[in-house]
Amino acid sequence: MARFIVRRSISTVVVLIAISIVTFLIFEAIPNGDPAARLAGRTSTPETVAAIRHTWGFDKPIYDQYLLTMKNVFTGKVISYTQQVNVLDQIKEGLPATLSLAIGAGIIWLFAGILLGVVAAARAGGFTDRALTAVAMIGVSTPVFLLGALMLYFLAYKLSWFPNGGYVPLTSNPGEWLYHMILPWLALSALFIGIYSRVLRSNVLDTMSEDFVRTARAKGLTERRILFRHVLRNSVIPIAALWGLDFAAVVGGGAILTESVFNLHGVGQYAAQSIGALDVPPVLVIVMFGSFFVVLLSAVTDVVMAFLDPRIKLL
Amino acid sequence: MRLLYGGRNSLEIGFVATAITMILATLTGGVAGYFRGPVDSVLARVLDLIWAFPVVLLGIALGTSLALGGINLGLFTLSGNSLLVPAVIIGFVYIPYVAKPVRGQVLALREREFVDAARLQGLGTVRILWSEVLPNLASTLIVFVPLMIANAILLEAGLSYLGAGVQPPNPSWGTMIADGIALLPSAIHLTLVPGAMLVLAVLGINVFGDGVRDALDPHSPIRLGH
Repeated sequence: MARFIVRRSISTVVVLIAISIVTFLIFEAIPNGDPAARLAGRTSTPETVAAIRHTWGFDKPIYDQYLLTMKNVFTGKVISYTQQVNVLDQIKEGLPATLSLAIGAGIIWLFAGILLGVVAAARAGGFTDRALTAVAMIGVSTPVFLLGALMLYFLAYKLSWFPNGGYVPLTSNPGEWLYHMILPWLALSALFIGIYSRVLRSNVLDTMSEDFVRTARAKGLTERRILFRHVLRNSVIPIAALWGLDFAAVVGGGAILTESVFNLHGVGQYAAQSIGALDVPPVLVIVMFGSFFVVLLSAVTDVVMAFLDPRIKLL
Repeated sequence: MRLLYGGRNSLEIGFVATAITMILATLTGGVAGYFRGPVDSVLARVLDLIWAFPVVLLGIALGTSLALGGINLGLFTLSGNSLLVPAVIIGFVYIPYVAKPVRGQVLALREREFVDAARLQGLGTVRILWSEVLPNLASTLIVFVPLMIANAILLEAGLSYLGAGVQPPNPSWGTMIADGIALLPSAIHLTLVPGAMLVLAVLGINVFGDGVRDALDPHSPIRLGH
């Protein structure tokens, strides 16, 4: 266990450093993206551009620029190029919306996926199973921004059942917060519910044909007890692994489309705006933050998996 | 009419991106699995690196920077508004999803007797990989193809919605939906029609892929991307 933690921590640091370098290079490679020219504004003289280039360090070699940016990231002083505000403050502002979205949707898709998967497996081959399969397929095939936009159009604009996007902090008004989050949660979880119910259904069906299920039947247990006590416990393990990775991906910027459609002003939407403005520092920080979540939660997932299933060894 | 051309672009990107993913993933996965040791360590780290990037973020970052500058790799040059730019990006970001399972399978395959036999016959490495290992990977690869096409079309739509995919004036279902959403309260059909086309196309490919999977390997639950 201790060895596992040390190894994973080292590899996390290495991956983060590599990711920050790659992200930096992607934006450095943009030909007409001279940040000094954009900082100076449209009506600037070459002299001001040169002065800005010097004060911000754009005239230094690229590795110096990189080291300077990273130093600022860790001392909390990263300033964005376009709006010239502190990036970490902006991210802190967006974080509650992103976490509300990710946690709520994560819970919904986990439980709805398990529920629908179990129902489909219990009724395998029947009408319910086919209907659920069809619904899951449609969920998997619909882009989240299309689903979100249609929800907004029909449920918020036409029927006025829900508000037209936006985010209300949980601390200021819990009721409004819930009211504003329901549609984004549903839109984001639709895809995952489709995937999870399909995966769980096939896992349950696979487990059903194992020897210990036959033993349980021979002992005279009811089908319901076999399904919940014996089969489900085994089938849920891969779902837990999937959930850890998907949840990390959603927190780390995967909800970018959902946030943009519902105008939640989360971290993802901030990333999208910054990328559009070719603003390197926010993108760099958000990508690092997202990757950190992915790497961290994949390590946590491995530990939880080993806990749930003693046959899995931690390396 | 625009709908048809948009569909052609969406599907073209889906297929080209999938071809790129499959070829590069088979190459890296196969080489990493077959040679093991330092080669494997390096390739596995690179794959982990791409894997750790949030897919949509990496796609947008590459999309925006390449849409402005185009790709210039010496051998071939693509201008920023070329359709192939999103295809290359999408193909690239999905490589680890295929390369990892391929690598795992090659690791197991290289220990099998028929590979030893081929090696003892004095066959070269390339020959062994091509005619002994690759045919055994075929069913895995075939199962991934429809899945990847469906995911690639969805990712293209997502990137286009954020302005990092297909660049105007070229249409694609993604950009058309994005344009429709911008006009939403007044003209719902501009969203609904390309949206329905996209969903139906992806749905068709997914159902087809499900059938292929059941036909080839009833026991493998495969992870879908985002």
